[in-house]
Amino acid sequence: MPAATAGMGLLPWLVALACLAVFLVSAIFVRQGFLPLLLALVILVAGLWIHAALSMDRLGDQRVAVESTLRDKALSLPDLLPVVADGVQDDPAIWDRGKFGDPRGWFNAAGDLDETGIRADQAQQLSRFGTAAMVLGLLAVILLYWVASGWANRTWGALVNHRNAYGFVLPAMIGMIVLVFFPFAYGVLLSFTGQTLYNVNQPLYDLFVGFDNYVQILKDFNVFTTAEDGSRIINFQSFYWTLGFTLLWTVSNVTIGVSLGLLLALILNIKRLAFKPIYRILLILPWAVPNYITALIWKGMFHKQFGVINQMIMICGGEPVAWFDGWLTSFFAVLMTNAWLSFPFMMVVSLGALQSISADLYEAARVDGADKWQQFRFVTLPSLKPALVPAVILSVVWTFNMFNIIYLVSQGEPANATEILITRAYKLAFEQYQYGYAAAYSVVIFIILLAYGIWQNRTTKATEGI
Amino acid sequence: MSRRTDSVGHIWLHVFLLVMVVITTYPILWVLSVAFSGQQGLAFADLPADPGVWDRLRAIVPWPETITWVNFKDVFSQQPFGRWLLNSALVAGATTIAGVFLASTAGYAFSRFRFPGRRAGMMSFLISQMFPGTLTLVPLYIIIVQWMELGSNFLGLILLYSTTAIPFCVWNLKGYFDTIPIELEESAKMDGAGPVTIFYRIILPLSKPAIAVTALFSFMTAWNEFVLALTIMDKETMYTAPVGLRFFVGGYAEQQWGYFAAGSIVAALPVMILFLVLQRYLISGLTAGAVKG
Repeated sequence: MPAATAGMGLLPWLVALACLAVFLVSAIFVRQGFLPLLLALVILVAGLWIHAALSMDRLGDQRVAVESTLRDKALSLPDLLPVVADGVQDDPAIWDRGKFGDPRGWFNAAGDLDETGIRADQAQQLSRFGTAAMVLGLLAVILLYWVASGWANRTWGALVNHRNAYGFVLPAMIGMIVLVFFPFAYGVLLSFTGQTLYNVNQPLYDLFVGFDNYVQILKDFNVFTTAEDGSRIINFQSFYWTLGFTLLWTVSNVTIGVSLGLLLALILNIKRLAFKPIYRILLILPWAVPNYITALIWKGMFHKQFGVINQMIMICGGEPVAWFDGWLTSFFAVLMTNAWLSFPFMMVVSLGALQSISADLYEAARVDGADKWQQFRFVTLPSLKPALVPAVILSVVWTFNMFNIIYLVSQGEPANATEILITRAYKLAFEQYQYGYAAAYSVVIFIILLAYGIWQNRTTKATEGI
Repeated sequence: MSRRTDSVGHIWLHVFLLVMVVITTYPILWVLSVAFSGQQGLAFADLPADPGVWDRLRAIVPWPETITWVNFKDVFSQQPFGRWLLNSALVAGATTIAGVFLASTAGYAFSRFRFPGRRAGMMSFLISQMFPGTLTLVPLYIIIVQWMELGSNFLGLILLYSTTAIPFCVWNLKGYFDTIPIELEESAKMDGAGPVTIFYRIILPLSKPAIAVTALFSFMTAWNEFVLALTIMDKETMYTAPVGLRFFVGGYAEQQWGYFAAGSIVAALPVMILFLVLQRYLISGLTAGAVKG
């Protein structure tokens, strides 16, 4: 049998090699025209197809043989396989299962091998291969067009001309492509599949669900549900609640950060103010603390029973508050935490910008009779703009995606009410293991941020002149 | 405007600033008191059954009843915090080296060469900052843990951290390289130096301050990172310091605030000092990069 198999095994390879040779020879005459190449490509794909079909056929024979042998062996070792020995072999449906526990139906009720099941499985794999070959063929046509139209030549020329530059960029670019851009593309691909932890080994091709995930996320308009007694309850699971909460979270944080930072910067910019350096260093402190530590500290301070914040409330005669039981108090807790750590950044940026404003401008304004408010409105604010605008853009993006504070302080309590989009997406992926759905959720976040970035760029021209 | 009205106005400003200082320093004093209290609980003082105002006041003043180093000693001897700190140091150190190498070469190319794809490359670095972490996190988990089998492995974290830090570092360094006069390189080129020699012999030595800032940034990115480490590091012995600190107080088990506080101080103090010393440079790079390009 081995000799016969070897002889048979040579045939598919010969077919494939012949077709490859035809293709390569035609590829040498690529400049002669596009049509011959297309023809050669068709021959190549056809050849590969025949190769695969022949191989699959052979593989099918082998699998039938292997399964039969396995069954015979299993039946000859009843001690090792008590289940089979107990007469369960009468019902192969129990043990005749695939990798994921799916019934295969390869054995009939009598326990004999049913070849048609294996053959059908084989045919399915072949058709899958056919699809893959078609996609590859399409890619090859695009590649050919790229070569035939002379673009490849030009690209090659650019690579050679600027080889120093590309050499310097290469290491960083490889890292970015492998660990940033490829995962991004793969994530977008995942968002169109129904991948979960339980089917992660199946090919993505089988899990394709189109826009289902997006439809499911975006059509969930039920922000309010009506309880049995007629009162309206907020549905905290709804995408639109989370989106609304994220916007509230971002806007309130950035507003507090900018106004407090700017106010403190204006005060610290007063010329004859005493102890300025001491204030400055003490007010920057929160920025220096790693934010996960900040988050956990505030979580401790908001503790219902032992937290100092409730102790302070009790001094003033109030009742202790269970901070994470209601969404408003929970929001206050996370807002307080984030405001604490985010205003120093704005303060430092504003202070730097304030100090770079020339005193001559104020002098000129005074000569023109401007009062303090007018000086602030027409000299200070316009001069701050170039530094403040990028800082605001940055802090909007940072706050929008401020995972650590929400995840560590409120943990979304109560009942996912204080979840922002990014923490929700994380929980969908790593607590509910819905990889595809979580990816779609993340793509929605990205689109929102991208739209914001483009809009902001249009209105402020922040990236002009790169 | 007389000096008198000035100082009267300043009194109110000082009151306001003092309130702000109390707010900013209180949580830091809080963590210090919990750390030095020697207890695992959150309270600074035990309240009597019927506490008066003074007892309650005592409970919010961040000063422990007894000052002891016991939490600091125990977090290293009773808990694997030393191991976690070492893990963090290893990962952050390797990230710094890889990050500086990747960012300085790319930053040099973006600053000195004009080549097709330059603008697209720089913009793609900028846009990559907008990718939500979770979108790349699932594929990264699959790539790092399932394909490359680097789950609970330092190499996986190092690779991830060095690429996370690249865009900021590239922009920062490019901004600095732009300020180095090109004449220096031209004379070297006359003497027959190639681009690699110029980069190592002229550009890098001249950019020491910017390299230092980039190194600090890469180090802090890795040292303070939480989500990726939480997702990828499954084994308790392979935790980094942030994941370990959260382990003390995050779970449903008994919360060990004393260990958390002592560990936080050990983990945060070095980077806080570095940060306060160098923050001027960080911010200048940030705004210069964003405003001028």
